[in-house]
Amino acid sequence: MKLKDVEQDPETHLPGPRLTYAVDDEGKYKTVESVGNSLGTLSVKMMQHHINDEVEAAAERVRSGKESPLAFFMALHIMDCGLLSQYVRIAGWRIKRHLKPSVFGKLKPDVLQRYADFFGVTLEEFIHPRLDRKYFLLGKKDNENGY
Amino acid sequence: MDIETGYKHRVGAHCETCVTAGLINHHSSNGMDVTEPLVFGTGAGLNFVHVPVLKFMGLPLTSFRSPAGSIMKKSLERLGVQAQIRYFSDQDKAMQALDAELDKGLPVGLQVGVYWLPFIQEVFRIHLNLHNLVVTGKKGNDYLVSDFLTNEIAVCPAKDLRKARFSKGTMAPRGRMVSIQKVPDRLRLRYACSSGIRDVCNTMLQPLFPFVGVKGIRYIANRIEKWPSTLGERGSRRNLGNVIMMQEEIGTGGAGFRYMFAAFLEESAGILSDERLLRLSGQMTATGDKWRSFGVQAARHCKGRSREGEGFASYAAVLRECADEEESIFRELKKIVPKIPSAKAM
Repeated sequence: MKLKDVEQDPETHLPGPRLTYAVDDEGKYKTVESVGNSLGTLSVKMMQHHINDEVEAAAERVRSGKESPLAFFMALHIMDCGLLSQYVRIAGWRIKRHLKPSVFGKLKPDVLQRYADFFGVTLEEFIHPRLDRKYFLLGKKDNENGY
Repeated sequence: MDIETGYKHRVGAHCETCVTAGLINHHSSNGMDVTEPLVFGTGAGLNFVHVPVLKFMGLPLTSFRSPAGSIMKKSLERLGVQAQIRYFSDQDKAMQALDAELDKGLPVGLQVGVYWLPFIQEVFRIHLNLHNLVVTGKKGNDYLVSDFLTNEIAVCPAKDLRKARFSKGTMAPRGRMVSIQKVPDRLRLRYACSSGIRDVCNTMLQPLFPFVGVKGIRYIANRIEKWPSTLGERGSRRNLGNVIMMQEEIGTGGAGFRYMFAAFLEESAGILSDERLLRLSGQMTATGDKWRSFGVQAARHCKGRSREGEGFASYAAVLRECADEEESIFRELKKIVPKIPSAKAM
């Protein structure tokens, strides 16, 4: 890549400049600070769209009573059963079962508390969550672009 | 308790090399300027891996670099820098060890999971455990961290840093902590460069598994052709997006580290005083451009703006060309770079 071809994508999500390596006219490598490139921006946008879609879909399933609130929180934190099981120390197959509303309703308070503690919400919030992504971006900085 | 080690925040292209180069420069007594490409090359960072079985957030692992931590470990070893790399099973002990190092006035390199770092923008907070940063000091109960993703030194509360150090999932960091003890006055540059290049050649040309190295590039080319039929339109688009992200956005210096490696070849041409390396550096740059053209084509597909004659078959064709070019580059490199048997012979 030539120095003049280094992209400075204004729509980037990157918080700061990054060094990029490019060659000058004589073929020598130089470093240049780039605020972002369009390929990277696109891929991050795509990932973010996908996460948002997943959260929406999970919220819909919880609303219609097909899955327990746990599904919503897992989508919110981009987790699958395997990853969550490593964090909360509950077997993956049990977590998969807890996604069923009928099983979830019969869970003991201490198991529910473990999930609630991990997701950083109160027990009440965990059992009857506000199914809105924005509301739960507590510690996270919200992005102005709407992603 | 306030501690400040005086580590200078630096802008970088890749987290691990940025941290390693920063730490070496901080500890050197005579104001050395070790560059990122040098660390990257001597640590044998260039690689290609595509493992459909290993998943990052439900997507197959595609990586343009060697496993997390190995770049730092290998380059420190080869350059002759004395460093201590520790893993922890006990979280309290890990934090105590970090404090003890800071008390001595030493900045510490940590491997962390990005998801738990509060100072990083929300869009980047994914479950990726391959991130590195430097803890430069402590202010009350908060740690001061220098992360190449941020503009300046950021503040991270202790409880978040603890979570980040012990994040779970694929390639968990297990509290990995690097502290440098002694940087020699003269680095073993000749030895480090030649063994780094030879190491890259070996992993690219004779990998232990068929999904690594040049074979790995051909493997993903074969897989990409089948994506539309196995994953459907939506799934294949997502997978392509993931490959672009690994190639361009996750701190690679562009084109999946190919440009950075070319910069390293140029630098080592001076160190090993071999003009042929300059030509190979140029070829590597050309390969990087090809990788980028693959990225551009794939991005057009993701936006639904594919041009005439573009499709998964043409993406695979570009990747196969990349594989062929890289194979010839590394075969030649292996021939011309001398084997320096031991560090003493530098």
